[in-house]
Amino acid sequence: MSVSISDQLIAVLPRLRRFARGLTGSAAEADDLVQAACERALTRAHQFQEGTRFDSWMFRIAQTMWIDLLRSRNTRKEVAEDEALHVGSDEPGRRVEARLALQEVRVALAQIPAEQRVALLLVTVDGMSYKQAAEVAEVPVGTIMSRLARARVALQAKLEAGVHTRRSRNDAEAE
Amino acid sequence: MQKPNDETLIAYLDGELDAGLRSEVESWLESDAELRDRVAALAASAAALRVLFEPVLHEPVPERLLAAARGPVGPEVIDFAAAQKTRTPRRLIERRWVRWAAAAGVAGLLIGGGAGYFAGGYDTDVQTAANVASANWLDNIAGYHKLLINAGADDQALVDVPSNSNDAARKVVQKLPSDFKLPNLKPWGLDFQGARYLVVGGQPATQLFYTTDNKKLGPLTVVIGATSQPDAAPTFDRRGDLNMLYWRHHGHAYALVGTADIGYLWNISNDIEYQLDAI
Repeated sequence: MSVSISDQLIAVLPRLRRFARGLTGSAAEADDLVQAACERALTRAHQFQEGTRFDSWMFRIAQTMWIDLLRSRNTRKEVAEDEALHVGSDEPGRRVEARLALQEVRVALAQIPAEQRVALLLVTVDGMSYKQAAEVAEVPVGTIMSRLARARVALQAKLEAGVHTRRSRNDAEAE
Repeated sequence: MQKPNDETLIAYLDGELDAGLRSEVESWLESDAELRDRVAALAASAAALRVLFEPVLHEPVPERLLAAARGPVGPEVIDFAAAQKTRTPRRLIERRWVRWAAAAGVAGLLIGGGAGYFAGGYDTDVQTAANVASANWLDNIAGYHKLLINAGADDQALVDVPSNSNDAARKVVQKLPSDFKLPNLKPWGLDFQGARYLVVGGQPATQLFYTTDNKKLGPLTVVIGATSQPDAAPTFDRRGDLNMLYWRHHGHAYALVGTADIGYLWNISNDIEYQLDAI
């Protein structure tokens, strides 16, 4: 028995939301994107090819809509306000450190070019193979590989810079 | 082989190298401490990225997305690009939409049944509002059932308490109404597979997942949630191919969901009511 498009959509929603959250940097915008992607998928259900991966198709729809939007407004989104870090003064130090570190990851990700970010989210976060990620992004595997490498190196560099900044700040405060 | 570059190291970490290349990279790693540090740093940043987004998988899926996935969609199909250009006004519209959707269930009701809802008298409105709230609750329960069945009990991202975890029953019971126990449906050939914590209609709920080898019966979910609505006797309803029995008792709403014949569901619901003292 074939599973309906709606059933498959519902099953893929958590992963799709995670992907969209990474793309947009905002919970509200991510859910808008997922909702719009669901609606597009249902109106274009006839375009889905039986025997191919449904999740790849949905991720492709979401990433295409997002890239189209970025191109249309030609700006890069910074970390959204509703995702900004709010550190309470009574939080234990180690938890604050952990949150700062995660916030640095979030900021670093937001600074990575959109197409590299897509590769990073598909492979590193969602765990897709390079081949599957290439199908989603509709580019050759080699392109995914190079985008991913540039993204990972950039992420690494930004995180290291963040650690150095934080240490310098802590040292200054200690003095 | 030359010293591996970042691209090769990343492909190595991602398990994308063939056996020959992998072996060569490992030889380099054995002899080059700087390279080992580089691989460790790349692995750590990838892990941090996964940690950052892992919680999203455990969030309850918003009801508006379940409704969108089920289709038909809302009174407006979101033009995503236009929505982003007018972010602030659209959020107001969307919030309204969400509030309406919460009151009226699926968006189709806003277009169809909704017209009658706003045109009717006050008493009729109250009753209709209660009906659509129940319909909305059932819509979401059906959506959550399909979400879990499609993913399977092995999907750790969806099941908050897998059946094989230590003291699973105790963890589940903590989220159930006080003095409740996990319904034992073994006499029906149903094995408990895990539980998921939800928010349905703005109220906390626990979804219990049972499977069986009996193909006539099929997998079942039992949802137990809080409700402010008055008690109601067991009532039958359907959503697509799903049969549903739901009832309310002393501030709690119950639903039994599956593709099983309604006769099975009635008998199993009787058993659950008895076990949970929810008659």
